[in-house]
Amino acid sequence: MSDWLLSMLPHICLGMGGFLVFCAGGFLKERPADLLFGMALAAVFLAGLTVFFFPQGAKNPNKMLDIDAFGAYFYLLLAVITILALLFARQYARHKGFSGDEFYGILLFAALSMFLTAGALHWLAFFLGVEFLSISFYVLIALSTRQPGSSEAALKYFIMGSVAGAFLAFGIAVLYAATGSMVIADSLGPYAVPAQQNLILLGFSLLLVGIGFKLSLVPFHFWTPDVYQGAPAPITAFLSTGAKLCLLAALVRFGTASAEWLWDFITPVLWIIAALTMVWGNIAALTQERLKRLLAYSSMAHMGYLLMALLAIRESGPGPFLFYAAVYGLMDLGVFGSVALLSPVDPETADREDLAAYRGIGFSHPLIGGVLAVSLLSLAGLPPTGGFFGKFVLFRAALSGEFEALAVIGILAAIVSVYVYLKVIVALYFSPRTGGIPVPEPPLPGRAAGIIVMVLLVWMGVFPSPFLEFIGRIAGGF
Amino acid sequence: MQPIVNAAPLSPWEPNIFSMTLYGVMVTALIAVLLFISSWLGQKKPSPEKLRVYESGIIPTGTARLRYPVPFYLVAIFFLIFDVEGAFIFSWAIACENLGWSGWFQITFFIFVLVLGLVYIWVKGGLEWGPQAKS
Repeated sequence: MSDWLLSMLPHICLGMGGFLVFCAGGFLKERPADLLFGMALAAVFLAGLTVFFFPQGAKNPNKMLDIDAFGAYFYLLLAVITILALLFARQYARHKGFSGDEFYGILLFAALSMFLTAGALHWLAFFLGVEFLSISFYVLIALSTRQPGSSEAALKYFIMGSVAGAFLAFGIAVLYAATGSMVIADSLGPYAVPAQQNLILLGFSLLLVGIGFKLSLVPFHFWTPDVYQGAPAPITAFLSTGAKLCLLAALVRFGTASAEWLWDFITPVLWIIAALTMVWGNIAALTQERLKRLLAYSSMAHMGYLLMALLAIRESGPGPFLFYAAVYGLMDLGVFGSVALLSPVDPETADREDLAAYRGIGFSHPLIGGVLAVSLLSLAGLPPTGGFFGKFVLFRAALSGEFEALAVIGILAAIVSVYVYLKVIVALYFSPRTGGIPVPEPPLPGRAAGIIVMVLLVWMGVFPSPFLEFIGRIAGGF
Repeated sequence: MQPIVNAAPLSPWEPNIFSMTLYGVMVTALIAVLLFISSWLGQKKPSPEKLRVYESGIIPTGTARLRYPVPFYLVAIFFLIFDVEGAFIFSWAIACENLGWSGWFQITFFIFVLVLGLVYIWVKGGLEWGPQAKS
C-alpha cells in the first residue's frame, strides 16, 4: 500500500465504519441486537490499531494530516476515549431510545472529526475538522428527544458553535491574507514576518476566540454548564473529553509552530485566559448543587490547567501536557460515565443531577460509586490517583518555565477545588441512602469501562513511570 | 508559495487601525444621534391602528405559531444537501481532463455515496408524504 494511503488509514477506518453503520441501520431490518454497537467498536479499534502502521521515515507523504509521534499519540488517546464512551453509552442509549444507527454512525463521525482536528497540518483540514466536530455534536446532544433538556442544550450549543465557527473562518482567512500560506507551520512560522504584525495578530486573536468558545475558556464559557447539564450524560462525557482534547492538540501545534516574536505576543494573552479560567471555573463550582453543572465548571478549570502546560511547552517540552491530557480524558470520562450508569431508566426523566440524589450511593452500589469517587479524587488532585501526579508534573513544568505567579494562582485554585469534589464524595459515602430515584442494574460494558478507568487512574498515580517513559519517547521525537 | 509581502504585482494593502477606529466612531455616533433625534422630536400618539403588526393594510388573523407540516422542511433540507453536493460535481467536471482516471474514480465513489444516501432517506421514510401507519 502506498505511504499516502497508510497515513490516512485511521481516518478511512472511522469514515468507512460510520458509513457501514448507516448502511446496516438502513438496509438490515432484522439485525442482531448488538450489531451496530459491535461495528462501531470494531471501527474505532481498527482506527487505533492502524496508527502502528504509519510509514516510518523522515518525510510525511500527506500534506494535510500529521503522522508523527505527537499526532499518533493523540490518535491513540482519542481512540481509547471513543471506545470508553461507547461502552458507557450503550445501555444508556438503549434505555433512552436512541440506540439506532444514527447514534453509532454519528459518534463514529465525531471521532473522525476529532482525528482530523488533532492531526491537522493545513488550515483547511483544521477548519473542516472543527466544523465537522460541531455538527456531529449538535446532533448527538439533541438525539435524546424525549428528555427535557436535550434539544435546548443542542440549540444553545448550535448558536454558540456557529458564532465560534465564523470567528475561526475569519481568523484563518486573515492569517492567509497576511502570510499567503494555508500550511499551519508555514503561516505561523517562517512566513509570519513582523512586517505583517497587525494582520497576523488580528488573525490569531480571532482564531483564539473561536477556539476559546469551543474549549470554554473563561470569557467565552457561558454555554458550558447549560449544555453539559442538558446533554445526555454519555454524550457529555465524550464532549468534555474528546472534543476538548483534539482542539488542545491543535492549539499546541499552533503554539509550537509560531514564530518567536508571535509567541511573545500570545503568551500574556494565554496567561490571563489560563488564570481567569482556573480561578473562575473552581470558584463557580463551589455553589453548584447539581452534579453535571458542577462538573462542567470543573472541566473548565481543567482547561485552564492544560493551557498553563501549553504556555510552558517551549521550556519543558510537551511531556507534562501529554500526560495531563490523558489523565484528564480518563477522569472526566469516569465521572460523566458514572452519572450515565446511575441515571434513571425512564426515557422522559433527566439524568441524576441533584447532589442529594447521590446520598449513600457509595455503599449501595460500590462499583459505580467507587469509579465516581476515584475519578473525583483524581479531579481534585489527591495522592493515590493520576490526577495528583498529573498536577505535580504540570505545576513543575509551569515553575520551570518561569510562570511562578500563574502556578501559584493555579495551586490556590486547585486547593479551593478540593472542597468542591469532597462535597460530592461526602454525599456518596457519609450520608445514609434516602429512597429517591432507583439505580438501574449496571450493564457489563459499562462496568468494564468503569473498571478500566479506575484501574488506569490508580495505576497512573501509583506507578506512572511506564506512562512517563512512553511519553518521554514521544516528546523526544517531537 | 511566497509571502504576500514580497509579491510585487499586488497593490499594497495597508490596513490602518486609525481609519478603522475613526470609521467605527463615526458610525456609532451617527446611529446614536439619529436614534436620539427621532425619539426626542418624534410624536408618540399610540392608537390601536398604529400598534397593529402591519400598520396599514392587512388585518392579521390567527396565531403566528402555526403547526407547520414537517415534510416541507425535510424536503427543503434534502434539496439543500444534494444541491450543495451537486456543486462539488460541477467543480470536478470543469477540471475533469486534468484530474484523469484517479479523479474519475474519486467522483464515482462520491456519487455512489450520494446515491446511497438518497436510498437511505427513502428506506428510512424521509420521503413519505403525510401521516404514516404505525408499524
